[in-house]
Amino acid sequence: MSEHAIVADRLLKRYGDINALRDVSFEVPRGTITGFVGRNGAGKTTTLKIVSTLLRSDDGGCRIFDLDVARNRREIRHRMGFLPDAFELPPSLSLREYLSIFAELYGVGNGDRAKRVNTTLQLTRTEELADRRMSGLSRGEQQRVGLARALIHNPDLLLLDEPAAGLDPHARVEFKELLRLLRDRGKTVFLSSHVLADLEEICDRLVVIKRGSVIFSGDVAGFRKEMRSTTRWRMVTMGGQATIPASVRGEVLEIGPNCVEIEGELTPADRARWIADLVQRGIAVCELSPQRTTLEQEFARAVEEEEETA
Amino acid sequence: MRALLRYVLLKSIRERFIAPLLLFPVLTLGAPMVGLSIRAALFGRTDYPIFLARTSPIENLVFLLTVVFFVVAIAAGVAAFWIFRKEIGDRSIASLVMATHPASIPLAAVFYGTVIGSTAFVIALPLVFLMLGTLPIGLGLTMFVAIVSSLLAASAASLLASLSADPGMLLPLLLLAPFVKEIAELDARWIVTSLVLIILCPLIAARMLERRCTA
Repeated sequence: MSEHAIVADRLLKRYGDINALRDVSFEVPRGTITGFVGRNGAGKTTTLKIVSTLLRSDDGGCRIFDLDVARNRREIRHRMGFLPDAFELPPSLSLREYLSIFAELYGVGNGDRAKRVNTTLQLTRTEELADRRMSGLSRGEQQRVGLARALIHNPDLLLLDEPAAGLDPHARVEFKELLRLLRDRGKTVFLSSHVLADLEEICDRLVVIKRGSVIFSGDVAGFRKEMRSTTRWRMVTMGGQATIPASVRGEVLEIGPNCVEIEGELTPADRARWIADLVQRGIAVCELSPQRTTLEQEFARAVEEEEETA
Repeated sequence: MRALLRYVLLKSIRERFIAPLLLFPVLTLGAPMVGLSIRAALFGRTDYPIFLARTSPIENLVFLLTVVFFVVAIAAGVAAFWIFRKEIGDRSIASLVMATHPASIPLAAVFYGTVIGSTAFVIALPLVFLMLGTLPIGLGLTMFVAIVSSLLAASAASLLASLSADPGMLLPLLLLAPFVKEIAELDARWIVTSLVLIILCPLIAARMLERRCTA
């Protein structure tokens, strides 16, 4: 049994003259939450459609739980739940009826169906919506209902395309909690999102795609390490302008009356020298600290660097 | 398949399009009766039983039954087209395609359309009797024609819906008129051709639905 839930190997997809995917390879280990990041049109949805068995790649292959997506579509579909980026719900049905129908479609037996529906309602915190018709649901409620539908057959793998889009902050927090809970129950979650702050908080791993090519695949810490060649440092002083001695090498990013930010690798000896230099000149040092950049900044930078290289 | 039929039934009851479809043939046939009754009331002239000029009572019955078969087929086609129209239009059909065999979806639409068409025919028969004062001798055979016509129209509609959810796609259903006429005359070649189409259309529709999910 492979330790990976998804193994994509050199996926290629063309739409006419446009290469939507070029040599896309990545792996998603079982029991992890893996974020799939990329700008609009980068190839996220195309990749998700191939992984979800809805679309065939022109070349390369993809295996889900060791099963080939081209040959084992039915089996794979029963082992995965897919929440597309946009979907509609039948307004005339209640959520309970809707879930019960999907449970039956996925082959959940008569005896287990009601129990499975109730468990899913509980898990997705949609009990209060269960017997209401699905017209007039808020965006957050619709997302929870969509997730309930994706989970009704207790799949091992969840594919979520922009699941946090349009959710208010409270709904977003709840959604993240739910994904963590699912991971703790052994499910594998593969989600695409533009909200990188959310991914940073919940993802174990990241796959970054740009113009149809994967530019990074690995854990979040690894992404930071790989994308960050230098570190930002912030010096806050009192009683005088913070100057930078010649021994400290770095690019000045921002300079204010009592504050300076530089980008560069500072060894403990560099930092000690810098502080000593300021103190010697009668300037009190209030703070010298590394500035943590957000994943959003790292991503923007990675994409910019790639563009410059191209 | 059972789950899909439950979905279809719940939807059509809640969205209230089952009754208009079932009554469509009766209303279509009833309209001339109402017109004739109004004329009779106004001018004191009654034409009952209703007949076409220079036709025998049998020809008269055959003609009216052919019209009924066609109207019933249209009702079946509209039902099969309409039932998954919204899902196909907004692409939420993908969730059904993922959950079940894709062919189940057009097959459920065909089944639903055929049941609507056949039931509408049964509802329309008393009106035929009322209009002509007579009924066909072979009721079983008449029912067979109604079922085959409904099946054909529903199959064609399931394919049309898979191509586009635009209501304009219903218009090609009118091209089934010659088929319905020949089936009503129990022409074996047309019946066999219809049966082939009844099998082929949902299969092609299933492929088309899968392709739509990728768009």
